[in-house]
Amino acid sequence: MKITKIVSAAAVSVVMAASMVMSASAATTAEVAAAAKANGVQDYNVQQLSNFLEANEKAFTDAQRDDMISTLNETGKIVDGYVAEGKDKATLTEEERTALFKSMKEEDRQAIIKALTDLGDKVNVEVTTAKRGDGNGYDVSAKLKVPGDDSKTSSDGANSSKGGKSAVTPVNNDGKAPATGNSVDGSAAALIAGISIALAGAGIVVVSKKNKEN
Amino acid sequence: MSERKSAKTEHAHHHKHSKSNKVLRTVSFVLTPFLLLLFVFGLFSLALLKPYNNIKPYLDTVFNPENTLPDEGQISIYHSDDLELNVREIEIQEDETKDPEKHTIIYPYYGDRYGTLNIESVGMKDIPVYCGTTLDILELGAGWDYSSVFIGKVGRVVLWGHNHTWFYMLPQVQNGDIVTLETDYVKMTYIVKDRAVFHETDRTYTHTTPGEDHLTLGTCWNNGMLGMSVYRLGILCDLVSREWKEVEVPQE
Repeated sequence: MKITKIVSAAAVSVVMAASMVMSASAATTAEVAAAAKANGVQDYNVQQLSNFLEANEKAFTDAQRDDMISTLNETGKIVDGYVAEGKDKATLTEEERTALFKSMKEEDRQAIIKALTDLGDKVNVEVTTAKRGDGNGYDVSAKLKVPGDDSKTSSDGANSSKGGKSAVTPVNNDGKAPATGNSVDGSAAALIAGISIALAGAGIVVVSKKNKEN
Repeated sequence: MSERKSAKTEHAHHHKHSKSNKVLRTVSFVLTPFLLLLFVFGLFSLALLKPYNNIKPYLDTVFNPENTLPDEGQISIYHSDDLELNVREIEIQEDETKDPEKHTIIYPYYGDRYGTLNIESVGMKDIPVYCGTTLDILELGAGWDYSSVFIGKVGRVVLWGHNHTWFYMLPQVQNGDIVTLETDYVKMTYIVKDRAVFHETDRTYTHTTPGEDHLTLGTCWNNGMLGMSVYRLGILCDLVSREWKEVEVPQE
C-alpha cells in the first residue's frame, strides 16, 4: 500500500513568505520555522510547518532544510514589494500579514506556488493547491513520499521503512476555525415544498375553472 | 318536426353534457382534497423548515444511534495499520527558570487517536481527542488543531469539537473548572480562566503563545442554540500541571 505523509497546510506558509537571508550552514527545524516567521509568514502556518518538520525530522536532511530556507528567500523577494514602507516583515502583526497576502497580485501568488511546488519536488514532497472560494487564499496540501515507495498499492508492506511512515490528509488552511456545528441542507426541502404548492395551486385553479364552465 | 329534432339534439347534448358533468364532479370530489392537502403540505413545509433546522441537532442528539464512542480498536483511515509509532525523546524547557529536560513524545499521525479530555464538572468524561480537525475526524471526537503545539510542549494547545455532540456541554463550563488532557506520554491539567466569542477567522484566542502554556477549547456558537455559525465559543484555560509518563523509545 502506498504509504504517504501529507504535509498539512504548513506548506501554505510559503505563500506568505518574504525574504530573509539565512546562513548556508545546515539548518535545523527550528531555524526553518524561525525563518518563516521572520519572513512574515502567519503564526498558524509557522506552527503547522514547525509541527510537520519536527514530527518528521528524520525524513528531511540538513541540505533539504537549507533548500527550504533558500526557497523562502526567493519567494520573499516577490513579497517584498508588498510590504508597507517603514514596516519590518519580521514584526508584522497577524492582521498585517493577512492583509499583505490579500493585496498580492495573482501572478505573484502563482509564482510563489510554483516555487513551493518545485521545492516539494526537491524534498520529496508532492504539493497541490486549490484557490479558496472566498478568494482569501489557497488551500494547500502536500504529500511526503517515503523513499522507495511507488504509486502502486501493495499489501505486503514491502516499501515500509523505519522512521517516518505516515499518511495524513491535507488540512484546509483557510484561516478559519473548523466548522463544529450541525448542518442541515434545507434547500432541497424548500424546493420540494415550493413545487408542491405550485402544482397544488395550479390543479385547484384548473378544477375550479372546469367546474365553472359546466 | 324541426322542433322534435331540436329537442332530440338538445336532449342528446344534455345527456352527453350530464355524463361529462358526472365525470368531472367525480374527479373533482376525489382530486380536490388531495390538491388541497398538497397545497397545505407545501405551505407548512416552508413555514416549518427553519424551526426544524434549529431543532434537528437536538433530535439527532437524542435519537441518532451513531452518536456513540468509537470502537477503541478503530484504526485511522488516513494511514495503513502497520505504521510504527513515531516516538522520540526531545528537550523541553517548561520554564525560563528551569533547565531543559528530556521527555518522550509520541507524535500522532493525522487521524490518529491522540488523547482524552475530561471536564468532570460538566460531565464531559473521556472525550476522545484525535489528531486533526477535518469534519470526519470531528464526528469521532474532539480534534487537535494541527496549527497548535503538540500536547505536552510549551505553548497553546487548541481543541475543537461539535456543539451538538462531543462539546455539547462546553458552554456550561465555568471559570475555575479543572480540565485534564491526557495522552500516552503526558497528562496536562488546566484551569478555566475565561471564555470568548469570536468570528471564525479571528485567531486571537487560537494563535500560538510561545513560552506560555494555554489551552483553548472551541466550538460553534449560535447564541446558545445548536447549529452552524460563523462564530465560535472559546473556553480559555491556563496550565496547572504537566505530568510526564514513562514511554519506551524504540531502538533504531
